[in-house]
Amino acid sequence: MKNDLRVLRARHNLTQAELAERLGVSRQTVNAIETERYDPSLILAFKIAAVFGQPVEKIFFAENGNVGTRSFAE
Amino acid sequence: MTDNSQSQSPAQSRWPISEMLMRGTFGTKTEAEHRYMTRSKIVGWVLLLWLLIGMLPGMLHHPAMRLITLLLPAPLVTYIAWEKHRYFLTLDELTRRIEMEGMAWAYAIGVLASLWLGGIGYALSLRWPLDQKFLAYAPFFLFGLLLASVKGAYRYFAARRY
Repeated sequence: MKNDLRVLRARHNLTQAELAERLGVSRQTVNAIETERYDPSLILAFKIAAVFGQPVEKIFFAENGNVGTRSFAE
Repeated sequence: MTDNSQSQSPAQSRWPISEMLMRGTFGTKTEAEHRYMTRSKIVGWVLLLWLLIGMLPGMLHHPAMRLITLLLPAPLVTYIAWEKHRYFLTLDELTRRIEMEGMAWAYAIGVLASLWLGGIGYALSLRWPLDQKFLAYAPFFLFGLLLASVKGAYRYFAARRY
């Protein structure tokens, strides 16, 4: 899963530690998400979306739009 | 002005290795971690005192030593396991996952190591009377069986929640 967390954080002028404090997680967790070594839970993804005032799908997205499933529209 | 878009170096971005290896914590400096560490240290010192008392001349076979041994090691380690559980509940989702992965590996290696050690020990002792030597190595096998049984039971009850 890809994400724009680092860009959004920079835009809001937040450090990893400040964002971690707002989310109630460790700074290392924020770093792991930013570097795409860890995919957050749904609830944490929604918390991140709430902090930046963006929908979850604007922050987290699958690489090439492919999540390995077929939609009903297909 | 600092550049917030930059992530920290890999060494800075991870949890402090000394805290993880020496203390079994993530070095998050939270109140829960401080509480867990303080209680662990107290229990560690009490257990050291127990060992030192046991080394005193004549104390090993003293009736008081039986009472101390009954009251100290297992209850204190159980208490620390409880404190560790409380600390675990304060961790965030990634640190919990790492902790769970660690426990899963400890389980798998614990079962395999106990069965291998029991098997090797028993095989090497086969020239002695079987009944006595089997009893000596039986705990290894029982430990493996106990771990596997606990895991099986937990899976059964956990699966019923979903």
